[in-house]
Amino acid sequence: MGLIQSLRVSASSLAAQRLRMDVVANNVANMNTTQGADGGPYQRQSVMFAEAGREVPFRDVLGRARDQQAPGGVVVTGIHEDNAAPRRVHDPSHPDADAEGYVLLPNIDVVTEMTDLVGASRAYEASVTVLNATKSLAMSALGIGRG
Amino acid sequence: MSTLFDTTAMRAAKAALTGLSRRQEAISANVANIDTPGYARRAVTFEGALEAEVRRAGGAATPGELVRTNGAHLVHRGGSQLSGMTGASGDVTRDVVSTRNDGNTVSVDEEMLLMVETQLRYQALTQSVGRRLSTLRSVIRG
Repeated sequence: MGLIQSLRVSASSLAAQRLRMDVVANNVANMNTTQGADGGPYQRQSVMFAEAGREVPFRDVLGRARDQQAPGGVVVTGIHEDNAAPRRVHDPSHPDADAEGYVLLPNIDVVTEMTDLVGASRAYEASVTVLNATKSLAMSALGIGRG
Repeated sequence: MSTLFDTTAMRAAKAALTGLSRRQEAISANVANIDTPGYARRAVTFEGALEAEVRRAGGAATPGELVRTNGAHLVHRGGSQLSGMTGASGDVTRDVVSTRNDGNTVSVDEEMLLMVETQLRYQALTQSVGRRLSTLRSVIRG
């Protein structure tokens, strides 16, 4: 069933882009977090995407070839931590300051995060547009023979 | 061989609708993977195969097509009426040449354009099939 499959593919994209937005929100929220999960400053996180069904067992490929069903969609393969060095800011009054008065702040650049957010938002919108187009295709197919 | 419902045109329309929905599926996959590194764009082509199929089913020239009846006539270079239609099951191909840093070959503008085109063609086909069926209905009702 081609059109239903298309809707699923678009839905996978919506879910993936939403997760990307969540991760950006998390990064911006933790911009000044000096005590992350491992004790050090919070580390920037980023989402990794991959094409769904890229590495699949032979049985699935065979089934798909038989049903004329193309794989598609996007999957999130993981959320990775950015290992870039933290920012060093001189602030002796900060409780987490070291002996020299420097504080290690997370390696987050607001501009990068905002760019990523806009990218995720546009990709989300594009998928919504495709979803609506697929829906209108299905609706016009349902209209055959009516009236 | 064509009966009341199973005409060449109806079969061609059915194949074209299938091909268009597969193309829509490919567009969905392309847009979904717009940020996937190394993704190769999918494209569905079925027009040529459908046209060949219709030609085989309908015998010689398709209705309304220009035919050269004299050797002195100019060669008709334009496509037939059916060349704009879609058909057969459709081959899925992949574009591999990328202009982006992440190796992705999807262009959102192209996909949106193709999507609108697919949508309009699909609507045109469903409407013409609907008209054909409503003609038959009025013939049956008298």
